[in-house]
Amino acid sequence: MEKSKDPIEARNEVAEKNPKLASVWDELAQSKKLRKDLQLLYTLKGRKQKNLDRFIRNLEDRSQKRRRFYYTVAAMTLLLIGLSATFHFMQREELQSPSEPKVLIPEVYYNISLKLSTGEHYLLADSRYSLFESNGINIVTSPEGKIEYDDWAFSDSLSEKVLYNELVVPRGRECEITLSDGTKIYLNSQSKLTYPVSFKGKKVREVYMEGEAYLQVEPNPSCPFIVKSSRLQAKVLGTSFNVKDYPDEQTFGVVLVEGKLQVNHESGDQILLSPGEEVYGDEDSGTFGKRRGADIEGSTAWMHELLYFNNRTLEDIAKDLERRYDITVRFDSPETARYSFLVKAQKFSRIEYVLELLRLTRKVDYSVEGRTVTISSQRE
Amino acid sequence: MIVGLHNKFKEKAIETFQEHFEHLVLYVNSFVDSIQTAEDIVQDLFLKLWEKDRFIDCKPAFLYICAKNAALNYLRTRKLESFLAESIDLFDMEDDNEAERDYMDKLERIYEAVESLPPQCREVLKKIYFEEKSYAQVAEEMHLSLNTIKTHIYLAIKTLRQNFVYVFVVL
Repeated sequence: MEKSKDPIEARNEVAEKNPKLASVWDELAQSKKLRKDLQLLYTLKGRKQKNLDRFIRNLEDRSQKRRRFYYTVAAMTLLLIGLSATFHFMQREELQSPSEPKVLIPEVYYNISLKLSTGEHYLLADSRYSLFESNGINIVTSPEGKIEYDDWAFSDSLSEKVLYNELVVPRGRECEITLSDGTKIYLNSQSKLTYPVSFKGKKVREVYMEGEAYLQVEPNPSCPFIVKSSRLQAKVLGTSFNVKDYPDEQTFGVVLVEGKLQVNHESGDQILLSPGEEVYGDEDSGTFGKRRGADIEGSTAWMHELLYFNNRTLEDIAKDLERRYDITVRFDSPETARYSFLVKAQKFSRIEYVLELLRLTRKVDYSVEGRTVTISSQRE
Repeated sequence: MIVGLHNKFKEKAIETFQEHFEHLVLYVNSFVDSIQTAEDIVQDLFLKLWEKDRFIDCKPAFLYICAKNAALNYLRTRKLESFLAESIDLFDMEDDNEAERDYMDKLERIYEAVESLPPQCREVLKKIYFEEKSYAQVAEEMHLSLNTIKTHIYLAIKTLRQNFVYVFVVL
């Protein structure tokens, strides 16, 4: 194949018409690697469907193998029809979501509230708001639970005091807030966050929280970020981590995903974390220590609207469900509370789905009165 | 005892696959230099990630670290049984594959820009750029005038520039 002078001529023509385009041409034409990689990419894109099919087939195969390895169970439709008589105990099964259980506990929709430095309260209800704090910081809120701080109109001459805002996330809701320095904080149900409206001119960035939050701190080597909760304090330069410190629970902790984190306990103990490690505390036993191999997926699943309990007791699972669905859970006996489950599901909009799934394991049953759910052991 | 519905988990896994598979294969290919092998390695990797539920909170940088480890492991053992454990426990910010990921982004943008061109324009560009044919040849093959070819190339380059202008240093 003869490579004529055409491309060079054409390139010069193109360059004459518009010099900026010449650089594009040069980059594309001169980089052999780029050309080769683009060709490969084209080939791969052509095989996209085949590869996707292969992956999905394998996914399903794996699930199948797991099921076959343990005692297997007939599909849920059979259960519904009542051919339940001879099922021996189902060690492991993949259950399908029940279709339309009766509504026993209505969904709630409490409002997330934001309190400004003036004391004014705003509910993130049905409209978006664009507010300004006394120092010019702009706050934009959306009803779905997103808040963003922007300092484009900030002026430190407007206010000398440190202005604080308070965000309250009720049971059944979650919220995502971006602070004025770019730090993103995701708050789980029943959590609070108190924070300065602006960090300009500060030596540290300090916020206070109660409950559970996942923080993606904007790096700033000259200004450490400190998050304080009732029993913990975590100091970081720029990193992602999950803090869980609900005042009404005796266990609490911090899981580090990326970066480096220093965690202090109210007693004065200090622990330095590396990624994948966690700090774990228990008021009852007085424990406070570091653990490797933290269950990152388990700790951050809430942020992705998933229910993921990796062999946790019903007692633990119940605490999470209580906050996220605004219910109260009781057990018929302490033994029931100690059953452990591996749960992998999406966060259903209605709690009934979760309860039905639990019932399908034939290990537990439940009854409802008002917003109180009582879970009991099932007799075989 | 397992309770639940894997669908949302599966959805996330598939989403992640669709977004990153080709790029990871290209990345692995730079180590093993065989597309078929690279595909197998990345398929195997995604399966292992699925088994360990790593798609729940999955960062691209982590995927690239795993892919690199899988590739190196393959080269060492010539087996597909890769090594996921090291990658998971040592996800350390120090191992930076930002440059590789940016490069993949660039490739993807070029690909999308080319795909967004009008059909004839796209065909001309592919023939000139990938098949390295001369203008005269392309003109003959496609029964178009030389001028039309040149116009198509001009339009293509302009579109490409619009689509990833940040990549080039503007002179």
